[in-house]
Amino acid sequence: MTALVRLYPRAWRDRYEDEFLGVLAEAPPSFLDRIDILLGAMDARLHPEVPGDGRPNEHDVRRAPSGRLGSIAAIAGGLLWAVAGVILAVAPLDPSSGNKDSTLGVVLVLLGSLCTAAAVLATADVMPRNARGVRAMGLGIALGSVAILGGWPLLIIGIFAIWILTGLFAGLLALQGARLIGLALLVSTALVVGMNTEDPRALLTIPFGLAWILLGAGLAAGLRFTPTVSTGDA
Amino acid sequence: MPDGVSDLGRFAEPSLYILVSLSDGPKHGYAIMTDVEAISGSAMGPGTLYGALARLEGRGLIEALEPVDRRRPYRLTGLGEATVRAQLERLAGLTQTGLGRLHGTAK
Repeated sequence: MTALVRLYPRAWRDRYEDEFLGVLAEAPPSFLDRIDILLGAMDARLHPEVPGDGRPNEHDVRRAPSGRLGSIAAIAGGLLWAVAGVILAVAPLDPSSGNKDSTLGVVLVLLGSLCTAAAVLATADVMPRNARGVRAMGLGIALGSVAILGGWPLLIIGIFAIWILTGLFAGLLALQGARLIGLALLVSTALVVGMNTEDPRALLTIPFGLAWILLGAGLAAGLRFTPTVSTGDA
Repeated sequence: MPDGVSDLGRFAEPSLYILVSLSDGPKHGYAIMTDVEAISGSAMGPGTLYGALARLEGRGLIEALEPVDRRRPYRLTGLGEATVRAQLERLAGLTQTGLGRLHGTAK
């Protein structure tokens, strides 16, 4: 049951969790109650109305609305990258060229990459000390994504720009307190460099996608950053 | 005339039930749930209860008292009492009008 309650935002839990668990202890929740709790958690995240002095606390400032946007974009991007890998791996051979028909997979990679760029840009707002640097990384990933459309050699330049900038972003995450997520993204970025659309190595996009989903879940849960590195921003 | 719950969307009706439940004295969460079920005839889920409580508290219509163990009682504020009174009078007027018209139609 506490797992369901953990879906509520931290500020809500700080205020209501203890008595809420007390109510649940007195009246063990039915299946419908569990759905009601789930909807309540979604509502609390979308419309935080925790009583207080009316001023947003540090937690709220960090999370909304950029934290939510970053979370959604990271999860969407991660899913698109992971699905792209599967589609590329199972794509049929084009008899005329002897190569795989990777059009759909590449389109998904492009969309996934744009989503992860949006996630990086949104995350900049919750990393105020390094906001300018993180925004530059996000813009770089977005430009790299668009470059994929340009064919050779822009495609290769774009895709490597995405991976390098994602690696830098992952390192920054790890240094700013999100060590597990940062390292997961860093390792999966190193792995995805080895992907190949023509063989099963296309599946290397799956851990990369999962790492972005992990970041999205972290942002949704109110991931906090502890500034330890400055990229020159005030 | 104060009207602090009608714009609460899906929490408007549960909020009114909670205000009515607290109109005879403070109650904690579980007591509100059982009382609301007795008043309305249908159960209120814990997620809905606390979604409504948070909104009512945020609007100053109810206030939390010191908890006893894990039970935290809530009570109506002055604004909450005025709000529930206004709501019930409005509903009473609506009921009277509706019943009067139905009786008039029946004749």
